[in-house]
Amino acid sequence: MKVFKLYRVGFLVLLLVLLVVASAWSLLSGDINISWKQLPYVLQHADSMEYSVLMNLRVPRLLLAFAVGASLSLSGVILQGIYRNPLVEPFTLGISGGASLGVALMIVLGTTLSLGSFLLPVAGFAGAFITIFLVYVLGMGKSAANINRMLLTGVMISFVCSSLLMFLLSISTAEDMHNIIFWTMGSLEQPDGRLIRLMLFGSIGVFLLTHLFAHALNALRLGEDEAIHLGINVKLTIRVLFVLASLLTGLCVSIAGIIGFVGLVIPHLMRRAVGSDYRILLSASFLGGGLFLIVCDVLARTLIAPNELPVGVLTGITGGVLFIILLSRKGSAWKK
Amino acid sequence: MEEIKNPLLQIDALCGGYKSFNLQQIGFTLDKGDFAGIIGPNGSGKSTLVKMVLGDLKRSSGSMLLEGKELSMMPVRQKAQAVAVVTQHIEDTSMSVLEYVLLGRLPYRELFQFFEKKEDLAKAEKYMELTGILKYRDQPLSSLSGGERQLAAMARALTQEPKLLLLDEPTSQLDICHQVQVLDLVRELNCELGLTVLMIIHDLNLASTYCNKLLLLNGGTLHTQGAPDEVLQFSTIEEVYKTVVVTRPNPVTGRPTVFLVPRHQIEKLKKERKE
Repeated sequence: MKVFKLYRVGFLVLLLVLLVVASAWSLLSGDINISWKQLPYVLQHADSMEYSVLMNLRVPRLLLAFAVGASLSLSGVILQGIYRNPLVEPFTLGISGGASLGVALMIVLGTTLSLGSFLLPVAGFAGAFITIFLVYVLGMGKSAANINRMLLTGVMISFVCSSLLMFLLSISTAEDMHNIIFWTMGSLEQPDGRLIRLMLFGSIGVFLLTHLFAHALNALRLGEDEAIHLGINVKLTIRVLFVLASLLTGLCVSIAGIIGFVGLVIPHLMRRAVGSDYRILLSASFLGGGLFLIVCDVLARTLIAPNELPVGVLTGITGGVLFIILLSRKGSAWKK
Repeated sequence: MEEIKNPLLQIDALCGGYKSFNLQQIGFTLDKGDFAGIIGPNGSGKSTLVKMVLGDLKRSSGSMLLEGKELSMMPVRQKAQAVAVVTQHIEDTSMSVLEYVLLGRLPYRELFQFFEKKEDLAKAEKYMELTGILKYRDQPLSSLSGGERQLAAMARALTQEPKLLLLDEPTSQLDICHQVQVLDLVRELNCELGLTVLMIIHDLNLASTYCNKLLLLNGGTLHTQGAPDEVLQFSTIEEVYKTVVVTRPNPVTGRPTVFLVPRHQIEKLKKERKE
């Protein structure tokens, strides 16, 4: 159909191709380089070191990078859609602040709960969840979803959390401090396969669910009143999408730490590339976010090898620079 | 023989509004095929009334029945199939005119329907043709002029195939050529499809020319309602608008036409009226 331009579908295919290329690059590069030619040999020899590096380290990391990038970008595009504001990203709402605070508390208190690798993620998710709950309850109020109030509440909670985090840092030992700061910078190194699976299925689940609301998001481009006139249950749409997007962000933060800018920059890039029709924008943002984080992760691992850059630093720098370039170009106004 | 009345919208003792402004005891009935105009000075409650019918504002008491069903209890989706609106402010969006008009099919979309059906596209194109904006179908809405946007919004509202069409000052941004074009179009739809229209309009003469029923609001109450020649009496208008006017029949339509009288001519008019 002409409405759904061939170009847009073509763009999705392009993203998929790039995703495959980036994945291959990510799998083959690192401390131990594996070349294309070696690949069949490695895959047939499960006892070789290359095989175990590939299967136990790189594949899980690749999957995590994809899931986290895709989720952050998807959350960003959803939140921008329901808030009709280009500056909203998953972290504007204080979710990262809450998660960091949870993790820092856990590290400082040094609880000896036997949760193992689940300890920090659970603490992070609890922190994120409390923030989401507060923003939702304080921001929504009794009346209909009050968008600006929610946003401001989120920003304020963010400030409070970061002050509390500073306080915790100031009273903690050098080792704890190091752990907290390291966690805040974000990392895709996650030894626990269960968490990676959780992240992957969570992201795909939310991705599929949001498609039930693609038309509602399109109608919201005309404003809340107009969307209601078109028969959209705006209140329900905003609430469900807010909860989905923020839970997904909470999951990302608790598993991979704070990886900024993906949720802001990728949706913007995608809007420019495919327009603001959410039926295509959701998929484009999902794939684009995954692709972006995979590439950033490879760069983070290889740029200063054998050392590794924190991936959050890299996304922040590349994302920020990309964004400024975008804004300084003509016709860069946000397209509703 | 008495004409058979077929009420579409029955509004009775409607009250409600904002903290500082309330509609009081509004009651009127629109029959199927009516072309009604809401007139009244600024701040008289015209938009408030339309917002209340749309459900954007909650009423505090009274009833609004659409074909016997209470409007405020109707699910939004069902309501959107029956009532469509063209608001004054049309969002500046990058979506193409076709995409925009197709949004009018949303109330008919099924839960798992992702793409529009052929039928939806056919309807969108039909109404774009009717409103004369088919030539802009692939242009972004934001590239259209104010008047063209109003036409696009009209096409979108018609694509909803409503029983009742609400228009909030559809001619406010148009020159006389487009004013007549838009209102002629609404009249045709009104006559041919039996579409019932409720329109806020500032221009009393356009209201008189096109509407068969006028509702004159003043300070939140319904001052007068009825056919144009009943409502547009010079004494009524002078009372509500606090402006001296003269009304004469339009030489072509025979409907009352309102002429303004500037202050320096008022003495002359008073003399004439005495004689």
